[in-house]
Amino acid sequence: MKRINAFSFRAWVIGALFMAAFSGCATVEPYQKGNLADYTMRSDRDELASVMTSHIQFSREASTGGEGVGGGGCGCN
Amino acid sequence: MLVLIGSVVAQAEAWGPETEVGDLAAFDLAGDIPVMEGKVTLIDFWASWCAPCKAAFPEMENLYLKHKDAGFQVLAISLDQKAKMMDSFLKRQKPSFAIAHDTKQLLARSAEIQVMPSSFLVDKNGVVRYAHKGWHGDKSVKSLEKQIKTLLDE
Repeated sequence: MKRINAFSFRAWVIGALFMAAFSGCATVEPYQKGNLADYTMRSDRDELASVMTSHIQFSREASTGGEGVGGGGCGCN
Repeated sequence: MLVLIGSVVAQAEAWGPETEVGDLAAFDLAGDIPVMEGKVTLIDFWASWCAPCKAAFPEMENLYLKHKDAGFQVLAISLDQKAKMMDSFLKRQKPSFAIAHDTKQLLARSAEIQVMPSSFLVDKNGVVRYAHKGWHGDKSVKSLEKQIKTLLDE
């Protein structure tokens, strides 16, 4: 019984290490951001919805602004 | 360990001042690549989805028209993943300088492009002398103008 547990534990450890090594963080290079820069990826593409969201935030949080980003909007630099 | 070795090797290939550009045909680029020997070349990496890249186009056209007779040329390399988007932008812009398409992004990977747009001024011997990251409007134009003149006078 003990032997099976030791084997099982080892298998779990090896499995976890394998998953950690071959999964997770993939780096998107600046020149691969074509899809991310697409218009449909913008959170402010619906002007009316943006105004409403901003109004709700102001009413609930007593603060406004801070939604914009710097640069050309493509996140490429 | 492999990752560490890989990153060291990759760093050695990143483009910057003193990098010898070499044969660009090895990177499977689509389009006509101009002969760089004996000419000052601005190699610009751009994409149709990148707003600052597009803003640089009219200024690059001006610089090209102004200095082409003195031996200056521009090679704009598109890193678009969708050729249709690139064609659509070029149809509207109609640049008169050379355009190539890095279809598999092999050159971008090799040059380790960190910012879009990135441009490199290459001297008459095919060596990168100046590197520009991003596009900063008039500031970029003035700096490019000065550097182009310096390289043409050599």
